[in-house]
Amino acid sequence: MTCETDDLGPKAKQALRTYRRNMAIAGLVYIAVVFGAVTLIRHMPFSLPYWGVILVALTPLIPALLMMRFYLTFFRSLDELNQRMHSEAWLISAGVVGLASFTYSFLEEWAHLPRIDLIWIFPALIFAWGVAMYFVRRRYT
Amino acid sequence: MKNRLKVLRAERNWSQADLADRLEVSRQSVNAIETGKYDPSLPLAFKIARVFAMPIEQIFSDEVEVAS
Repeated sequence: MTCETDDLGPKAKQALRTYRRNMAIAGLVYIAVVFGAVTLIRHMPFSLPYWGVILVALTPLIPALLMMRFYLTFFRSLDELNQRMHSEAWLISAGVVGLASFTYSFLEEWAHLPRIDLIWIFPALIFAWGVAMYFVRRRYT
Repeated sequence: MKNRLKVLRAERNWSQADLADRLEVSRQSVNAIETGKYDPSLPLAFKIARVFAMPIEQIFSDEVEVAS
């Protein structure tokens, strides 16, 4: 969720470096936490109590929330045009993925199409944001 | 909204990047404003006026510009 360095203001260039470093660290922590959670829930000789499974399943949320905070900090460092482009792209992404998931759930229910896990919603949002950003950027450049 | 940013910048021999640095925005923002694809916010418009040391109404006018 960044943009080319040339397109950023001076303040945002520094923020981009910090953002990339923080996201890389948070990403590594996220991967470690997910592997740890999977190991605890599926591969340990003992079984966790139900509330324990819920707690462990929620742990990847901690680095994910950190990533969100890092993105917001980076977003606030952008100039107003870049903020607008990011926002428009998010709006389009939310609309497209929201409508697609809404519509697909009808197809799952009534036309018995294969079930898709909710876990794909967030990657779909990011992918749609990237595609939307390409078109939004063209609009302003 | 129409503006004289490109002319004023050329009079001072500033590149888009020079002006962007002075305004603390991206070069892309300067380009988008100059080409009429983006209208700056009021705070940015005032900042532009300060950088050129001119009243804001001598830089921006309330006319529709056809984006090139």
